[in-house]
Amino acid sequence: MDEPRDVGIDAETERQIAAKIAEEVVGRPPTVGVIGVSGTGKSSTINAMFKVGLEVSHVVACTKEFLNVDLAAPSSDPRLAGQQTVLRIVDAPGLGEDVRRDPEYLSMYEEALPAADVILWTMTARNRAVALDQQYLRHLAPFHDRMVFGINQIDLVEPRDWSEAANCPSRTQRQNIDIIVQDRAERIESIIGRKPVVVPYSATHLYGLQELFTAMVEAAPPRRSWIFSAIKKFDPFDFIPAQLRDRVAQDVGETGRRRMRWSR
Amino acid sequence: MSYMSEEEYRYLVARLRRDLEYYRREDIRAFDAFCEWLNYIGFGWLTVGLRIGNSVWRGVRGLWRRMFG
Repeated sequence: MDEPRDVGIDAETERQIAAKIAEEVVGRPPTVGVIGVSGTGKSSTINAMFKVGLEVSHVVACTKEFLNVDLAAPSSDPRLAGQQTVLRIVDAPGLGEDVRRDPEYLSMYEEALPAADVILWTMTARNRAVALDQQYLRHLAPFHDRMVFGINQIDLVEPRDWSEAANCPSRTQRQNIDIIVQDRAERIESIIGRKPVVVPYSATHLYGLQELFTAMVEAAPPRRSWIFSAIKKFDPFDFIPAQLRDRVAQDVGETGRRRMRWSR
Repeated sequence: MSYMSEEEYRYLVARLRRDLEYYRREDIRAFDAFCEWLNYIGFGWLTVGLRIGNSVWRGVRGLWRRMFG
């Protein structure tokens, strides 16, 4: 066995752990169930977090069939570079798109979701009608404990005056977003019987992603949540407009912070 | 670049501070989970030091940092 390093773990132990990590992430890939009515930006959200290239369509529903999608998600660990690290997405056509198929999709979700480490339920900020979400939530009661609710497209909240310069919602939008979050949280709570984690975000603007991601890591099983951090592909600084990053970093006292390897 | 008010800039900074707090929470949770998993796969002896903050704990922390940044 090699001599212990200054960090206190010898090289052989470290090699063994790296091998076990590879075994864990290959043998049982990190799995995210993504649910939401059609057009809520499920694929865009996953792409923004993990840069995995899920197909996105802005016109018609993109996911036509119920899918278990395995996407290459290389770890930032160079020792795992040769491993086929995978993020598994349990993805389905948006619920509510065709009422004739909903029962079929719901039953497929019931079959597939037990394998999901965490379930991301997406909604949009501008859609006030959440009866369909409530109805589907009732059907998926066994999975409520690992659900995180994301309210996407907050950049489109009235009066639609998102600040492009700061990449942030305007003051009026922020007030409206707070009202929307509270409203959706109450309506979800009425179904699941506990206060839900509801996070407003914009996948397009990479805004609110860190809060959403943290909520997902906290909802994942304790022994598995580290894997999601290992394959994450964004940095808390990403939503800051490039020309402002140095100034903002200085103002938050993070100038010396090592940016994540994959960060732009 | 379009105009940005001072209020918007202040909000941007506050928002980033908040996100960095979420990032730290994520990091702590993920590291705790990693230690729990190490225990599960039979390397729990490495994490014993978590309670007393010894050099082995720093080793696990260093390992986590090197692997997952």
